[in-house]
Amino acid sequence: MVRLKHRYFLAEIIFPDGRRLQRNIKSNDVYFSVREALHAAYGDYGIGVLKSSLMVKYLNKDTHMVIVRAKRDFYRLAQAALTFVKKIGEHDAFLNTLHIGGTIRACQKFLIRHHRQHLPLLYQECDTQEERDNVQLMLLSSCVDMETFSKKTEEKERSLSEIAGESLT
Amino acid sequence: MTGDSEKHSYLRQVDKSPAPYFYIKTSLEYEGRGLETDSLQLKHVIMQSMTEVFGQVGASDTVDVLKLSASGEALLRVPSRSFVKLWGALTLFGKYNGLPCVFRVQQVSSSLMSLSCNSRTWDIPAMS
Repeated sequence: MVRLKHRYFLAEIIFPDGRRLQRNIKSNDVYFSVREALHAAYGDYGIGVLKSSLMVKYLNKDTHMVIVRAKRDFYRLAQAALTFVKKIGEHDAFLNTLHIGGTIRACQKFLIRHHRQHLPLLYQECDTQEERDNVQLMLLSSCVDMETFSKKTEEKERSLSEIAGESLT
Repeated sequence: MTGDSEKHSYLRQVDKSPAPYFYIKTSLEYEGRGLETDSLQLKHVIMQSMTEVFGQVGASDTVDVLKLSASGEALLRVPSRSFVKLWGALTLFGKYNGLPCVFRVQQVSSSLMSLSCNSRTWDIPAMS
């Protein structure tokens, strides 16, 4: 027996009328719009092949990020279908695929890195001083996270090399 | 070729390169009614069947109606990579404008020559 493997698409929902507006999207809306797009592009065959595995695993309403799952044998059909999405719920929207991963964990890792890289861009978009302060704080905290992370890895490497040195002598 | 014995022999040609096209001989039958299709409508029906089963991507394959005889038999030409898809779509097609209909695939071949004669539809004058 072999495990059924999947591919996870990390995508951001882009609304042409600006992303600052709060919108009420449900993961079901995303699912149905992807399914519609799949049906339009690949017909009954595409639906039949992917319906069992197509699923929205994660939806962040604030950052408009989604993770969509598809069977690995036919993930290219799903990948193409994602680009053909034109409407989500009642909003005009399209999906920008950022990352394709084999696990949700890999997608989450990428998402964190992606957000960290895009914080400076957010800073540029700020209008008020309060927002600017907020973003600055977040930037700082993410840097602190990175510092502790690099420190930890350094320590780990050092201890590893020490152990190696001991075993050599 | 030289010599008397080889003078009337046939030249056998074997083509081992991949077949660029496949040819399908088919006819569209409506339930209860005879065959009344023109080539334009037939092409439309074929495109519709492809879109239904394989979507817009599947329907982007080129299908040519080479010939439509008066008896309703149509000769289709399709690139060999989409041949199976077209055959499948024709088989699964069942309704056009609410009318139940069916594609009967008579013969299928990778070369046009072999479609020129079919033993199944061979009408022997002495037998009939």
